[in-house]
Amino acid sequence: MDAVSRRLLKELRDYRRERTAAALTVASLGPVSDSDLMLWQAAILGSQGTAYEGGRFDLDIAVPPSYPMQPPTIRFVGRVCHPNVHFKTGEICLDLLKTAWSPAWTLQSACFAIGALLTSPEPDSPLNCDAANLLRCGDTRGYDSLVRMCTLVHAVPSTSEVVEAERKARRT
Amino acid sequence: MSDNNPAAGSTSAGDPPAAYDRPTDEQILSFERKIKEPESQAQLVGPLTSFDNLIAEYANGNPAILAKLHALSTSYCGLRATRRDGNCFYRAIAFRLCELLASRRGTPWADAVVLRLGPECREVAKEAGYNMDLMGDFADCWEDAVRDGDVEGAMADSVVCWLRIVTAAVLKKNSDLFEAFILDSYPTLELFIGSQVEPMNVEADQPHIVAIATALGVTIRIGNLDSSSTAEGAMNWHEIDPLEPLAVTSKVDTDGPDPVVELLYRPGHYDIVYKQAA
Repeated sequence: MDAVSRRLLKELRDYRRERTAAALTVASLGPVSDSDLMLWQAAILGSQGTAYEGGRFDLDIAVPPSYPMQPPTIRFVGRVCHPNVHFKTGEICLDLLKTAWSPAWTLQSACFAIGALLTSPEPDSPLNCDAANLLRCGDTRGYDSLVRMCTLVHAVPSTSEVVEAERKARRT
Repeated sequence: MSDNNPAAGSTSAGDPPAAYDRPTDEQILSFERKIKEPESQAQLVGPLTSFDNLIAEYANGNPAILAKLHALSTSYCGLRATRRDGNCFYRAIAFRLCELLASRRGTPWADAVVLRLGPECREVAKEAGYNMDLMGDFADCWEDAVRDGDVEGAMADSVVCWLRIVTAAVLKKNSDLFEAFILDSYPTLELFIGSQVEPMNVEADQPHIVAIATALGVTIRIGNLDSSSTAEGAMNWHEIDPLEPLAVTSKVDTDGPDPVVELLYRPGHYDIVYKQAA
């Protein structure tokens, strides 16, 4: 087995075995299918007591052949309102996924860090200027309500389904 | 949504900023890689050459540097250029130490270094909280290269990665000492390690050198090729000893002094230098 696959299988085993504190944030993590170890998906949960609470956010993870020397590419699949997440593409601005990546990180710890990013935004390097501007002008109330609504509409499973059903009902 | 009324509505919460067509971070990084491609074709560690090229390079340059190069070439026979990819320091150490150990195989010094750079480094990394199930693969590469005297293997990225981990582990273990050096520029040692030690392609500086000398148990001598003027154009050498000396059991006179890894430093880059045979 090649070194990348061996490493990924170890990571998968560690994730399944340990279920540590990180698992409270990273609700699921694994390859999309048994036939391709280079594509993973994960879901992270919004922390309690934050505007993301109740949300389940899916991530797509593409592992490069040079992993773990090069970082994985990780994107949000659904819509996330956050200064450092592109609202349309799900692209994430986080240094550890770019220049600060180290082979000491794992897919699990990277997902955990993305979970942590949700509640510690960096509005000075925004991918979503609207969200960032709210924070930059100190309107945390406006920011929180925007995030909460976006979470409810796009990331809380039951609400998302209700919203979708209503949308369909209106269409017919 | 207008800027003046940021809390209004939400349907356009993430509407593209004006520069929606900006390149993605991946595109920026791949562009950066393309620019750096000529360098990425350079050998990781080049052949042993004389100082002629370097002297030619500075022929019309700073006279202080030129004087130092001339002084250097009287007692040193040449250098190996390393790739300028930000990993040169670790790569140079790995390559040269592997060579030195192969040439001193079986001496008390070599035995003590092998013990230090193998099981003892693993222990330090484990104590520092690294996942040895994953990091052990990198340690294996390094220990295999040392065991086989395989300098090719010692140049591998996985070896660079492992040396970064043990450097970080020594920094954490001696946090009281090292925090004094880094707290000027970083709020915590952890942040320093996360951005200046663990990531690949990030250059090494003084704390890294002390830490890796300690991790591996070898003395590192660094000739500083800077433009400061010195008496008779002599090179400034900095000798960095391990914080904890090597436990060499019995000293055999014929071995001579313990070998040291010698590097030539120019801002942002380290090459390996070789002393003339006595």
